[in-house]
Amino acid sequence: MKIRFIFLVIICFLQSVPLKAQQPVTESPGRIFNRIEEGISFREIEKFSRFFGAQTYLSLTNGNPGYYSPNQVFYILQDYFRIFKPVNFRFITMSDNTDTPYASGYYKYESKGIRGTARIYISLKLTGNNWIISQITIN
Amino acid sequence: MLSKITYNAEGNRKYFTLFLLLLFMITGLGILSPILVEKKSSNWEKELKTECREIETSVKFLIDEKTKGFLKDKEAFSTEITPLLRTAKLPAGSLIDIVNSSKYKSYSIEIFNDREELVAWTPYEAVPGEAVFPLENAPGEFYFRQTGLITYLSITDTVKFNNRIFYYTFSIPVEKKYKIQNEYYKSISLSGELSQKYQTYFETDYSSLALESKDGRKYSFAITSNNGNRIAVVTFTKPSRENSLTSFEDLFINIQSIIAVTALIILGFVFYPKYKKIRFATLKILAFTVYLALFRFVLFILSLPSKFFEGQITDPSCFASSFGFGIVKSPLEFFITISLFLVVCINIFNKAYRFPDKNGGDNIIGFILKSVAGTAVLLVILRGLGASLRSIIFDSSLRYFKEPGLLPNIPAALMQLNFLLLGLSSVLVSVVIILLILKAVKNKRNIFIKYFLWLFVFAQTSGVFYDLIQSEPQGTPLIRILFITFVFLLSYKILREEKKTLFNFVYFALVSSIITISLLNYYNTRLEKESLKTTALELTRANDTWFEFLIRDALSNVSQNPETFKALKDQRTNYETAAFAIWSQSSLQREEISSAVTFLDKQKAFLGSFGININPKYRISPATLKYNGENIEIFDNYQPSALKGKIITGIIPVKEDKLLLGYVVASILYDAGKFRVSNFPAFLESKVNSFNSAVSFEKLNVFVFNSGLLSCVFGDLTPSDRHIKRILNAKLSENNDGWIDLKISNENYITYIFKHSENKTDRIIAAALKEKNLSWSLYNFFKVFFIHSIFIISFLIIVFTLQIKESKGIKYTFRSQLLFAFLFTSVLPMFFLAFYNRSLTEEKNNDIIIYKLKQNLYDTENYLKEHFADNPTRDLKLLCGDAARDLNIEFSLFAEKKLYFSSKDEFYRAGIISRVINPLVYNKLRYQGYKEFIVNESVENYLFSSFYGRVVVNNKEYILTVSNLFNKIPPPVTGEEVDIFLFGSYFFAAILVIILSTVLANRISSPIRSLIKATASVAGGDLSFEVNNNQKGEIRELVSGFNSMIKELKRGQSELAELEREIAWKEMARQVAHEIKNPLTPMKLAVQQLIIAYKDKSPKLDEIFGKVTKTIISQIETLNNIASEFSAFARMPSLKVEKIDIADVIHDARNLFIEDNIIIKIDREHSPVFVNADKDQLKRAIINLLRNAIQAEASEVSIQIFAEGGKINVEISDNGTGIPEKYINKIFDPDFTTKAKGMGIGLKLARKFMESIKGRIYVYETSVSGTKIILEFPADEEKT
Repeated sequence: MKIRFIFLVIICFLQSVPLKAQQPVTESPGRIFNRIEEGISFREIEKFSRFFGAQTYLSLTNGNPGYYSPNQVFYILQDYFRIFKPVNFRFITMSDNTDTPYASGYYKYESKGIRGTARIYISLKLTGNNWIISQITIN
Repeated sequence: MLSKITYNAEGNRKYFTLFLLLLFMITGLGILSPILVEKKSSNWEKELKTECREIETSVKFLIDEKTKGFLKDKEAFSTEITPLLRTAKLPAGSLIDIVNSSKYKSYSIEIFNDREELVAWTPYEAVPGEAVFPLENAPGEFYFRQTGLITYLSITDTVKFNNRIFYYTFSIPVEKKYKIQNEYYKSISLSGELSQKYQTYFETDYSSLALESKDGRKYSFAITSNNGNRIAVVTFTKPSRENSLTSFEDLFINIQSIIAVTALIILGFVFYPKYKKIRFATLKILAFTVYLALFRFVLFILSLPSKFFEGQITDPSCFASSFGFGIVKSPLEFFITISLFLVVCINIFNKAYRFPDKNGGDNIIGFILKSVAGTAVLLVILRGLGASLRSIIFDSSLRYFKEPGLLPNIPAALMQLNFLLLGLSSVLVSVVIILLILKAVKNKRNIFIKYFLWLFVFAQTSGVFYDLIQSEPQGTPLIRILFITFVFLLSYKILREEKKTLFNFVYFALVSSIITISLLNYYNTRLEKESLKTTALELTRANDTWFEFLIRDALSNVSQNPETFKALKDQRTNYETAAFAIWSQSSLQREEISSAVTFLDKQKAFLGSFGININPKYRISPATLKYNGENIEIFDNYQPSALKGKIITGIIPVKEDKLLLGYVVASILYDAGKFRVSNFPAFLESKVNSFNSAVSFEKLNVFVFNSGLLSCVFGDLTPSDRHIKRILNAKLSENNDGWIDLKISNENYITYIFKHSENKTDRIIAAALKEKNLSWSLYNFFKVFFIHSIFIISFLIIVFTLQIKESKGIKYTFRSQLLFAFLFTSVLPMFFLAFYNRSLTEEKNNDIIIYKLKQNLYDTENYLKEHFADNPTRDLKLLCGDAARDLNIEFSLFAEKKLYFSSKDEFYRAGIISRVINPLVYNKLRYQGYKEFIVNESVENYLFSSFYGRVVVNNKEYILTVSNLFNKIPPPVTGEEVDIFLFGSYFFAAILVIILSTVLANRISSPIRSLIKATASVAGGDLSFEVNNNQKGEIRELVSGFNSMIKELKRGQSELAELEREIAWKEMARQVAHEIKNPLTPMKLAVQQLIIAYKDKSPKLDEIFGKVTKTIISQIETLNNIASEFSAFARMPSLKVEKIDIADVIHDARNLFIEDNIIIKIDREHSPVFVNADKDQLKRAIINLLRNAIQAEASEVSIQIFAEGGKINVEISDNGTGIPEKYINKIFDPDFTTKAKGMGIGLKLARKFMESIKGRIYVYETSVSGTKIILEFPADEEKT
């Protein structure tokens, strides 16, 4: 009986594990942009996924623009960078001392053997004491 | 290790061999793959050439096939129109009908007469007359014709008649030069199609002067016409070595992946027999779960089957959860995971009956402990279900309740199935928990109800406490109460009925549907509330830097677009069209921004422009005109005094080989005081305003305050001073936001308030949403429930089909026939009525739209006539402009076939809408004498209605048109509102009718079912049955008749039994006499022998005395045996047939032989197995058979219970000495025995008993190594 209940509790636990909480860490906008640059360059979304807001605006060339949850943004970007593999990326404009810090840059990619260039715009906003990513546009 | 595995796989060698073979294949491919890749790499140059040539051949073949179809249709068209063109009086109306017939709907066709006048045409004019003449290509030769927006495969030909000649062009679009990001856009692109097919980048230069690319990384080839002339050059990027090798490697990986999954499935078959032999149910479940978890893990690691699917079902935007490291990161992955999880849950549920209960159920402490633990798990399951549904709503861009259509798209349907399965799993596990807690007392009727109710109350009470201790309970108290109640009801049904049928899963699914939809609705309401936050976010998202980025992005694309260079080099270019093409492909369209694109020549003179919501006067800032730089430059300080906002412009010089061709300017109107809501025509909307929101933007009311003053209102409502005061004085959180409830016009509005600063100005945004009423929730509920019903009905159909297949036919009970009859006569008409009302409302809506368009047309006509009468010298075009402005009506005026004026001229000039009148309208108004005509038209796939009317202004006839393309005419009742009312209420009514029909069918069929049950009992020998007769009418008579008949039968049977008893006693007396006589004779002879010896004083008297007494004692013993046997026979009670679990009886019988030196194994497929029999007599028969086995020196007896061919079989096999062949047919005869002391009655009684219950007993097989006897029972009919 005991074993059975433990077994059932495990199943229930697995079923009810809450969603991974997104805990932003207080970091300066410049530092966050650096993490984003690094994350995109190495296709490691994890490096900046904790800065996704509860609703992040995402506008990509291969999808519908709109607001997405952190989980959605994570997997959408993961898929995007899998299709458009980053070859080289850097921000060329970065403004971190305004109400809405932003950075934009060129993103060189390779997709099915063809190379191309896209432009990225990312802005942050302050929520409480934390800067979070409010918008990502890749054209 | 291997030998151990091989040993375990014993008996399944074919699967094991297959498994090893698959492993070998995986290894082999792993070795082969690098070799082949290396070979491909070393021969790359040769392979590349071959591949490029193959692509060229394939593309040419593809284009050839397209042109063949094109030429065939053109010939058919030519044949059809030639006779008409050769008639004396040209039937222009008939020609228009042919040109616009459905078989040529893919084509654009124009027919010109010898005066080069348009005679017949399709709604969109592909080749204007001025572009046809003079003919550039030979008649009958196809070529590519380029217009500003579309490239056509075109052909011009002639039809001659007497001295007249007719020209016609026949064209099909092959490439669009613009791209609108919305659902209405019809993509047409030959290059895109080729790129998709050959997985490399294709570009096509549709010109006879086009040259092959000199770029070594590209491969070009020419396309020729049917006359062999070059008409285009196709260029594609050569496949790169790295990419090709990676693709080649991927091919091997994919094959290996598929083999690996197959091997895993085969491995399951290998160990299946071992799995079957696991005796402990818990271990069995564990093994099964581990196998499926491993299977899911392998699928996940190998990205199967997602890697083979593209589209929304694998799109994380449709659903993505971080649960389990991504095993539910898309609708498809979720489906795989939840399907396997459900299989595990079903497995647990099926095994739940077999879990033994060692406590026996009377232990109150044990019961309480189990109740506490079980309730805790139950509540955790509910919380888990709530959390999952929350994720389904919040981690998805699918809006289950927002879309107006009843039928969802594929990803939404898949997700609806997913959460139905998720709910089903939760309900199954919850029921299992209650079964486990209550199983021990299920047969103790006196305490079962008490325990059940106690547990129910405990679970409900614990639920309340559980909610209190959680910071954020998942779901509402009502949903929790419903869930617990439903789960207990289901458990009660299962525990009481002791049935395990597939139909129970239908009840589970229904409960799952109700609970999951309720949770979904709850979280959707929360999301709708959250969407007010998103709205505030969206309204504050735009700023200078983002707009500058968008302008820079649009202009960067311009510099890379060859069409820009072509446009600036060609003096015939329509720059409005070229500007629209650039604008449509930029993010300015996608983001629905008030913006424009303008072409300037190298002296910065205006060439042409296209823009939305930005006055042409302000599209170019003075600073832009002064710019002489080399790169993109942005100017963001142009603030014309007539405008509230400012214009941000960007300019790029377009140069080819350092030669300046001209400039392109992009402009955005930015008004920080207003929020960014575009006023785009519907066909150009990208729907970004909905930004995945759970609520349509049109349903929101938004108020913007700048420095405490109301600066902008969106929506139907204007806040009163009291409301403004409440908004401005609302208490805000540290994040500067808060919620208030506003009551406006007796309606409650949930309002989100967000305060932020922009350019040192305090800005407050209040977004309000009306609270939903009951019909909304009903509609929401039934909208998803409808889809769930389809899934459940599909499941039922599968079950029915399987049953029909098994039983070779379908059995309709009286109850089900009644139910179907009720449903057929009530629900079906109800649905027809709903759909009829729906179409009626749509019709009324259309009538109202037409009426309003008509009114607009009359108003415009009157305005023009009246104003022209006042001042006949006025310029008509200026007057039309005034009319549009004064009346606020957008309209167009056609002079003959061509557009004369349009208040939305920019769209006509850009070529988005044809400047030639709709031919069908022209036919009706000009040739058929109609005065006005309503027609449905389209731009891309966007449909709208246009009202055309003939008007005479200044003695000249024009055709005036007003449409709802630019004039927004909302229908009085939207389709969504109709669905809410009709579907919500009708479906609710349908559910009530179904419930009522079920109750009525049950009630009406109840006496019939009682009679059927009684008949079955009578057939089984039980005549004590009496049907309760509280019916009325014919049914009462029928039941009375049946009861009387039973009484008569009982009386007759009693008399018959009496007679039989008498006969039996006589037979018995004869038998007893016969049996007694047998020992009496030797006894008599022995006594006589003794008397003789005594009288003769025989010297052997002692010897004779001993012998005689021995004989007498022996015969007395025989007499005693006879007496015992007959005594037992006499004691045989009357048959008492009842529904019994056969397995229980066999277990009882086995327990009597525990002390004997024999192993008795019982194996059964199902538990419990019910038969109608006499428990004691069955037990006696089994005991008899087991005793026989022992007497036949058996050391092991195996008893198997199984169902076969609609019968229940008990197979008793022993390893005794067997029955000699000559006795097999006699063992059931009376008096036959091979035992020294047996009477031969045991097996006779067993047979008699089996026959009395319509069963049989027979020897299946016997040999020196054992005997197998089968007892065959008729199946319990109620169960089946």
